[in-house]
Amino acid sequence: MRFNIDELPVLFPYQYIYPEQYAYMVDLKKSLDARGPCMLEMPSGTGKTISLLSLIISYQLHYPERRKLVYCSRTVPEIDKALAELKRLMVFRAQELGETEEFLGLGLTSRRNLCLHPVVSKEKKGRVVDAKCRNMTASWVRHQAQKPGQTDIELCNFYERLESAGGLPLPAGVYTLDDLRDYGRQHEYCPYYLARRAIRLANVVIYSYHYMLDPKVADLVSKELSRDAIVVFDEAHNIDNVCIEALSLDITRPVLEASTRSANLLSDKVRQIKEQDSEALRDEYQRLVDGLREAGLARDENAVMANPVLPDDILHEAVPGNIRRAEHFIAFLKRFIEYLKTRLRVMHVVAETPASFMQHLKDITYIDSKPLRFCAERLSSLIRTLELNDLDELTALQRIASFATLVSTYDKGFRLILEPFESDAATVPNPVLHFTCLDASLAMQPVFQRFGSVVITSGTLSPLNMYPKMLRFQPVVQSSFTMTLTRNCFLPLVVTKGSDQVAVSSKFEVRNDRAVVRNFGNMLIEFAKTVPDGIVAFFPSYLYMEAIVSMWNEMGLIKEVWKHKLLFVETPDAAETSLALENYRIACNNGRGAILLSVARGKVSEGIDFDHNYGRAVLMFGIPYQYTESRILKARLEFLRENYQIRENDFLTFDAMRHAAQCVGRVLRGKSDYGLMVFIDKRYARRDKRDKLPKWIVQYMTDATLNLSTDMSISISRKFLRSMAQPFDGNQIHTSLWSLEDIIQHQRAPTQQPTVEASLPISISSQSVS
Amino acid sequence: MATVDRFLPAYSSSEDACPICKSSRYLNPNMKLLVPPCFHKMCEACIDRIFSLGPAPCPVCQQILRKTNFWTQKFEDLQVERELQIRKRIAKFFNKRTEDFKSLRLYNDYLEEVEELTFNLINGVDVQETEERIQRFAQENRDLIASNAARQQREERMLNHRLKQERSDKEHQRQLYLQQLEEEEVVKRTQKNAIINQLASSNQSASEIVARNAITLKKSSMAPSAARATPSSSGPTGDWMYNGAHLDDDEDMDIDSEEFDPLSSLYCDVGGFELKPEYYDPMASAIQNPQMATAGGYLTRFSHQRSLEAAFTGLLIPPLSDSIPSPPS
Repeated sequence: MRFNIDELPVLFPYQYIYPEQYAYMVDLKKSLDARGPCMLEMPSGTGKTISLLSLIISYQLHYPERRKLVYCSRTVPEIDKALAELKRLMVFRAQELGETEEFLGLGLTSRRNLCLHPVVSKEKKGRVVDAKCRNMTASWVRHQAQKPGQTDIELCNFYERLESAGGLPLPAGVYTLDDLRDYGRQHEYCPYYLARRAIRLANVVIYSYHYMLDPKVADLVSKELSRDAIVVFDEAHNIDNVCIEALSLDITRPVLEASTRSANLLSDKVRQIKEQDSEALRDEYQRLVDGLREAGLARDENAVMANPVLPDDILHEAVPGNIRRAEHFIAFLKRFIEYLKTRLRVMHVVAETPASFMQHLKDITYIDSKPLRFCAERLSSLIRTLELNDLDELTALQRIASFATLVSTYDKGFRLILEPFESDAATVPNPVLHFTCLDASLAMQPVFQRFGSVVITSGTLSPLNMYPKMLRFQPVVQSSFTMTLTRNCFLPLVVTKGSDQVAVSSKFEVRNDRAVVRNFGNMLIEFAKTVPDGIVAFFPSYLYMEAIVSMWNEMGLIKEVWKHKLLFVETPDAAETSLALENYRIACNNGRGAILLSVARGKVSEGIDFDHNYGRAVLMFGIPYQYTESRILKARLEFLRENYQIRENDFLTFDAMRHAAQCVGRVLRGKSDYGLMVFIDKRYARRDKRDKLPKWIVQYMTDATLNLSTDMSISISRKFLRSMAQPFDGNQIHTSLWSLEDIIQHQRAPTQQPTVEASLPISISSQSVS
Repeated sequence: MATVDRFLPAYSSSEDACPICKSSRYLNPNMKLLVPPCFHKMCEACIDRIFSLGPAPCPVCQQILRKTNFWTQKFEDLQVERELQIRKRIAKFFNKRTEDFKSLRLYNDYLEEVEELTFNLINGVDVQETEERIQRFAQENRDLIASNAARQQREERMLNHRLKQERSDKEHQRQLYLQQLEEEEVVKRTQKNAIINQLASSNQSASEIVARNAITLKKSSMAPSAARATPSSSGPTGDWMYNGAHLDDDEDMDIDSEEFDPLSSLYCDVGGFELKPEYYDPMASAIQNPQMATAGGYLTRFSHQRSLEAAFTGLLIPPLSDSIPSPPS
């Protein structure tokens, strides 16, 4: 269908549109016009991606600026899904407009997923693929191979073809990852470098968060994106954690050992080169003296080195004199590594700020902060000069160098935590120096500064005022959309007590109480009896799940469950889990029915959908709080409290509830679907917990379903399931499905807005449901 | 390096062995290896045996050593240990700063030169010449070195002070926070108890009481959150001292000050009365010790003037004419 929002013609590739999709587009357009960041929460399964794409593409192709769309998603399957949607949209546009627009859209992912080289692509590990690829494509290797008489240097044919083709040998169109690979295979071009090259010209780029947020990668991939690009973060409810992970690193003894080895290797290499021809080193030295940063020069293909965010003034300054010479720099690194080794031998927990770390470092080893700040930069320059190939071996040293740069650059927002033992009970030391970032806004700020339009969207962003605080931005539009439904196709229940009226909770004091565990087990049995097909049960942690399942086994509850459904368990191992999932699906399909036991922060809770018969009920046992004794978490809580006035409990609850909502949201994937959402913990009945759930869920929580016991919840579910299982006439049109007339009618009379309760950023605090 | 540093534990490994008495970690788990200035490690027992009667030659290299000059090994690599000794000495002389140079380039050249000298010493290249250069440098720059050393010390003190201050501030804030949490908890509990008492004692209908209290509860739960929203002004102390300058270029303030015209306001001087030197005022004469009051800047005249002003304010101002629309009530 085709309609106008304000003056913008929008092409939407379906005959009908959900009212919330329309409202979403209206708000999205507002924020694009205002060129400011926005936050939009829309329930999962209501076609968020297609609304986003169809509006932004219409916007892009309507206005002459042609603002580039950069769409960041989390996983490769999600990237592929978005690309497929985009492809469908463009086909529709071509049909509708009668002409194919000049348009290029593609996705970028790692070499491992794109490589076509017969040997390299067989490798399983991403890092190995990267290293092998570089060994064949680095400019100096290729340079050497061209010299006469050199026959034993292997080059990548695909890359060579691409190089000799020049420019961008990719016709316009939309390429999914598979299409890209196929195209590469057909024309013998390397798809990875093809995509990298195409980023600059493409209208739409879809890639993973890390290409935007991880400063090491972003510097290579996203640096050249123009300022007016539209950046979308989909499924962004975890964005703060992604930001923090991008800037945190751990240092262990093996890392230090390996970096000592690499440092020795470097110094050997330097000596060797000095004897043979010292010209390269002299050149480099001269460059460093002159303060020329070879930013744009050799950067493009070869610069693979870490480059954490640096303040601009440092980028333009010359490298300090005492690390200008290669041998000086290597000795400097060695000294730093030795110091770290000594620090790792401390047998008690140490938590300190970068400032005090730097002070101590200076007292002991006479290492100043300034040369330390240039470490990452200097190392990458040295590696380039030495034309080293097996960068794989140098990763440890690179990590040390980026640590050096980060620790000397940031005074605030970081913390060094040394944990000598893995757990409190361990006696054999295995020290880890956590260098953790506490401030999620550090990685996010460059994005907000560079790009005006940043769209943060997900199914679960509530409470909406948390993200602007943590990421330090001021959204121009901030809305939460609810679902319009012709029938209430999901039912949130809060079960607070078992049938014996004992309150259930995963609170620490009672979590291993036999009465509570038995009640949990009985609930599982009862729901297994009542609910058809698949049930997914979530636990707060692996540890707790194991404990509970073993107790159930002792009590004989597991046997009881088996009478009704099969049981599958998620484990930390990805391969095992995917096998369990596969069999779970089979059991759901053939009518045997199955229960999947999984963990709230695991793989299953994030990326996998349990639509239709794969999930008729989600049971959330307990509240998925984080492990609060973790020192890293404690440091972060303290930071949030002191700098952003976010209370510890508020943050913990917020974090737990977003994960709970994320788990529960798995059950519903569209409006024809239906399912139960069961929250099992007495604390869910409390207002402060419920307020932090997305509005579209809270909306359907009535007083009658807030404080249930097992048998009450079963009788309600039975009724619900029976009514839902009736044939659905599907006449949603005009209520939860709009045709073109409905939109026009709505535009004429905008007074009645039943679905949207958009709130302007000024009234941030008024998020509670009326 | 004799100071005990809790971040720098002594180095020891399972392969440790004393080269003099051939005792090893396996035979003697409590063995302590110490390092002399010539870097030939030996165990404590040997040191006691050889050096307790005064200076004696090192059994390995014959250099004369004293018992007091031994120290515990901190770093795994003895080279680094040695390097740091040399650096310590160098740092004493070469403490010039960026400010002492005309350009950054020169400073960097200087840094490189220093590094070169250090390197020579470490690797034993041209030691003689290097030593001479160091001496020469120390001679030439004696004053500068001294003043820089003093400055450095001062800065270190400042930094230490700041770190300590930050730590104590943090501790203080944490205490405040915990206190606040506790207070809130107490308030919540008392309110809850009050409701229960009310329910138990009064003969109003229960729902009415609950409803009324729900409103007050909500109000009271809003109040602390409002207080919380305004960031505590006591923030990280010292921060405002450094960033004081940028408070002035706040744009909003500029706009405000431009538009504000004190003369255009509706207020005018209060006149129409004359302040006499003396009034009959029993309250003022009640002040026991007038000296104590005047020391604080208080004069009875002020209070007289204020009360007169209060009385006369608006008294002599004509009412608004009809041409000005009266504000909607």
